[in-house]
Amino acid sequence: MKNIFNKGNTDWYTDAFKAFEDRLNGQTSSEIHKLRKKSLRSFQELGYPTTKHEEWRYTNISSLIDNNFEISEPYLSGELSQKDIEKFQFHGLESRCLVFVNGHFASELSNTKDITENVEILSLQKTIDQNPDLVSPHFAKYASINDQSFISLNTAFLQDGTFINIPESVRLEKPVHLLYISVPDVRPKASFPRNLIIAGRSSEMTFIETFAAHKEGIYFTDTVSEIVLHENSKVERIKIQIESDQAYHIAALQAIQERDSRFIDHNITLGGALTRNDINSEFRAENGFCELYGMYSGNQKQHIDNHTTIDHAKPHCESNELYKGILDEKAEGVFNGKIFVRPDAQKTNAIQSNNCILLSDQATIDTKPQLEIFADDVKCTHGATIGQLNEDAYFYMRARGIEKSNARKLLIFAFASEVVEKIKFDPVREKVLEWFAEKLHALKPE
Amino acid sequence: MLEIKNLHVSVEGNEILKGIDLTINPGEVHAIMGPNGSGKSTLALVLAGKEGYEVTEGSVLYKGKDLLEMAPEERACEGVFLAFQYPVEIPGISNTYFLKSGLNAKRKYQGLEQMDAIDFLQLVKQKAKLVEIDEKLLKRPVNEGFSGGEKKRNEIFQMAILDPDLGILDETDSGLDIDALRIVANGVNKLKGPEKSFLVITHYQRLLNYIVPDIVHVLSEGRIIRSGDKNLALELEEKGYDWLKKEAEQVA
Repeated sequence: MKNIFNKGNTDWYTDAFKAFEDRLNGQTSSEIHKLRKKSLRSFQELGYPTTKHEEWRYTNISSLIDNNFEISEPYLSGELSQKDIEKFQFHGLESRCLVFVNGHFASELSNTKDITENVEILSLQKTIDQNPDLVSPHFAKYASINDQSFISLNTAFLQDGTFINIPESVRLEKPVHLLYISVPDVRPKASFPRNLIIAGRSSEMTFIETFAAHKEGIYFTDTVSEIVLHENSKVERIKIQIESDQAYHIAALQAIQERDSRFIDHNITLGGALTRNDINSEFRAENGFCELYGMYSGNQKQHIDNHTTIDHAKPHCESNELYKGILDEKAEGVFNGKIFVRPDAQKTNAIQSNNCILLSDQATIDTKPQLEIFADDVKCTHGATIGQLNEDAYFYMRARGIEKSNARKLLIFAFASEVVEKIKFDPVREKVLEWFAEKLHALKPE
Repeated sequence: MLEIKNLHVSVEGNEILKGIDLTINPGEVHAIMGPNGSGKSTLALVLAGKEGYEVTEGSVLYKGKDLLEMAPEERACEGVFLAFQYPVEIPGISNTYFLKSGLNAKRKYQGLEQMDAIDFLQLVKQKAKLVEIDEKLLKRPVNEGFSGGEKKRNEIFQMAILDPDLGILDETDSGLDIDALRIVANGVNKLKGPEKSFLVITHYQRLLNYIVPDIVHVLSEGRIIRSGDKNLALELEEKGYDWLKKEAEQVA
């Protein structure tokens, strides 16, 4: 085992894994468990990334490692009530809601009624137990356990999450809401939610992922989603991260796009002490379309890192990426946007832009567009801006009577709205704006 | 209404206004004309409270209060309105929302109740007609993608909604064709009243055919070098500014 740990308790996961195995009760010989063990070995090989690692240069996770996290325990009936989760729901939005508490499915809090026939929206654990054949052709086939530490860690401890399987030509009118609530404990817990989403040929669906805390406290969420978009399908994800201010949140998403498919991602980060998102999409066939939108707002000492990769491996695909950040106080932002255009991928059309405003002298952003183009008949553009609030607009608003802290908030709102407006479900968009407004109220006036 | 005494203003260490004296009584329309770089816009922006304009000497009283002590938003709430020479685009905020925020801020300041959406919409409809502005524009983000004429008309529209006591128009006519100019002037004329005053800053005499001033001032190199009635504007149109400048030099 390579010893690249920085400090602290370096192998909490070995003991944790033993304890975890004991709890699995009789499943230890299953295929899934073999995969877990393989992933654990892989994690032991890889270790935690340090800032020497190119992909982690600006994100130091030593404070994460300093915590002795315990693996979260399954949900106990009555732990939370409907009232506890109400504030995380989108009023006026008809949706099915799967609720997970510390990464474990909480059936009594969930609403899975009214699910169209043939559509599977299930707890992943249940599916693995009852119908492993549904899961195994795709599971852990796209998010690699071999080179990304936190994917291998997630897979080693994987237990629950969501499995969605949309059959051919089915369109889910109502979005699926996956609500992940963490209940912090005096002993910090780690949870490892895992999603597998399979969109059949010509199917359509939207799912919302909300990561929230029942109360303030330290915990760690390491989540992985794999999304398979078959021919001509469309999947839209809206992720809203409003974790506790002390939470560690590390998430990876891998989308695989077959011919004529469309993947749209909205990535909203408002909470968390340390957040890292890896969002990757791969065009495996022609005429795919991918849109990645992101909005992040940090204050205090929040650290928010978004890494995205769009792999134009095939010709005639189009991608559009827009990320916007608002950083105040001592917040740190990182943006890395990779776009690969492979030699075969002629007629690629790729647009990327990342704009950030820094509201204080101590806030920082490290931004890196990374376009690697190996085909010659392509259109690729990228732009990155870092700035302050528009002073002229600020004065213009004040000259119309708008009080200065309000003018400032309105301008911040306006800046972020270009991204948030892309969410087309009104109740979701409004709720995001509401949470964002709450956060802005927490910002100190100038 | 407005009493400016010996006003000196510097921008980045350069003195732009070198002792302005100007008194505007309620109900009066004053015009300020002058060549480019004479300090016309500086005067407008100082009155509106823009940062970076340092008053080194002099005073400005507005309704008997020290205007220079007030924050820009306070001045607006007290009834000062500047129609910008270059209206600012604000993507992401709709015109209507922007204006409603301004109007309600003013109402709050005056101790009035907030105007609700229905009353506000009615007010918007009524005033939009006055300045012949397309209501569709109002739903769009503030000035974003507006033509030059639309931006200027939007300024007058905002003025109509906020109903100021002192309206300052900073070259609102520049770049407008006659039709647009007539609409803008008409808007201003309908807002006039015995308790309302206007300071119209312009580069061209043409505007003053439509907004008839009580007094015309000529600003040159940071000083008012001549004041007169509306005929002064006509004389300027005919002879240019140079003769006045020469006269001023001789006096000096």
